[in-house]
Amino acid sequence: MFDAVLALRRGQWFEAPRERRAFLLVWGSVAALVVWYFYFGPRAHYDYNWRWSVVWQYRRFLLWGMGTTLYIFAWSLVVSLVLGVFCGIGRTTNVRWVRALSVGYVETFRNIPLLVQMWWAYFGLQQVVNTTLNDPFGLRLLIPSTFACILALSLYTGAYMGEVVRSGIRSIPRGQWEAATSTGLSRVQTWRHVVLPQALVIVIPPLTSEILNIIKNSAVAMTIAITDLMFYSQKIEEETFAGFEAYTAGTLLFLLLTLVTVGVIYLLQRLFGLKVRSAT
Amino acid sequence: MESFWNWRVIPENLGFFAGAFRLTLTIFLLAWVGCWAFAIVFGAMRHSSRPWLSYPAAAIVEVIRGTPGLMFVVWVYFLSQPLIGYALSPFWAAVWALVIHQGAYGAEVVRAGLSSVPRGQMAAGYSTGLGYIAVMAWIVLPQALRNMAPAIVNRSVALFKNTSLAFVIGVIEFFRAGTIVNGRENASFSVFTFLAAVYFVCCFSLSRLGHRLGQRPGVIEDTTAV
Repeated sequence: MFDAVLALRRGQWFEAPRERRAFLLVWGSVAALVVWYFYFGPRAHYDYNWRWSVVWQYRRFLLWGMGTTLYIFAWSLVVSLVLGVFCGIGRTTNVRWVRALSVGYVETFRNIPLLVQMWWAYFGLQQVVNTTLNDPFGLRLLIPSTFACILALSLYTGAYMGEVVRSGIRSIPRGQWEAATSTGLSRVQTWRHVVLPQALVIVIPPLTSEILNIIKNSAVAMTIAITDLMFYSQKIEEETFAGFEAYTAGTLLFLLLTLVTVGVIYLLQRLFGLKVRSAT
Repeated sequence: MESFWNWRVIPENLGFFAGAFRLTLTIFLLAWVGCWAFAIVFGAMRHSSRPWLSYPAAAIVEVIRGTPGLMFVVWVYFLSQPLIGYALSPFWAAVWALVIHQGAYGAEVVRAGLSSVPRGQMAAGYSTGLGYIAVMAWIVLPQALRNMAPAIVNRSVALFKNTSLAFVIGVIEFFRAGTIVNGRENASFSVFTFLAAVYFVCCFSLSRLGHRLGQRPGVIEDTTAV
């Protein structure tokens, strides 16, 4: 996402005045058409009552929602990164059963919608717990929806991250392995000091997009009653009936979260002086 | 004591599930066609060397890619109110939302595919006197398609999974059918395992196809978790 901004700063926008005119003509008329349509178009007599003030009025809802979204994001980020790294290692080892396990994990969790996984983790597991533990033994174990949500989100993203890490590990030349072995490093030492430090730096760009996907996918948590940004957008809609305004605010805040995350990752990368070789 | 092992609800509601699955397939097919139309237009715009075309297209695509799919479905549903004066039917709102949302991801695939074709091909096309559309349609896109094939399949898998998001605005597609049956029968383990199994079979067979197409060097594989 940063590419466009950087290109904007460095590049020449227009090579000729003709292009400037074309730009203004095309995009100006698109913008004018949109504005005209909403305010004066053939449907304008339906007189949609714009109430953008509800966004400010219910700003606390949006802030609370952002807090929950960030909380879920932080936990899922940690868990899915760990899962992803182990799964990436598992997919590239020579141990057959570990590889089979990792492939099974990746293929299972990548090919089921997150929504289904989340409902399975929340309602499905709760029913299993109820019928095997709670009812027979008189217990009252409840699976917190936050736990179910973080579990599903981490497992889902971890599968994708595993693939990313695997491709990073695969891109390390064989010579590195051979050199490490010939200097007397054990297999674990080779992983720790030679392969993983290189592979994890290479995969930063695709990993960033997976990290952003955690934020975006966390909106699904609303369906199992997590009070995240999406949930509170819906809440505002329920209270004011200004659905379009509420959801636009929520969408923009999600966009803001992803942009800030990209910025933070970019800064961290520069802070630690990590050079990324592969193109985004 | 009731057990969670309650598979009889599946055959008992099979007709309902089948109808809902047909709706899921309908949404998928309609959105698939629209999504690639959107993707080709915006991908070609981003591929263009004219900044006044490529930057705004990039901005639109990146903004759409930065928003959650679920949010986008609901947003499009509510957008219809100020846009056309009445609420769009949930079905069409879902289709449009998936078209635009997945189309933005598809645009990246198309752009990568177009970039994988050497520029000389376009120049050669122009020098034989063909116009932009003809060059794209007859020279660049056919070559790009070969490289894009696995990514297209992976996007299709993502689109199929994302049809389940239509549930949130009340379309009775496959996932919502599951929640309805679960609400009536209280068999969440069986029902959601069944849903997961069906989605898995569909998506896994599709992604195997993509895997088979993707065994050449230089292909584009787009596997993002959306």
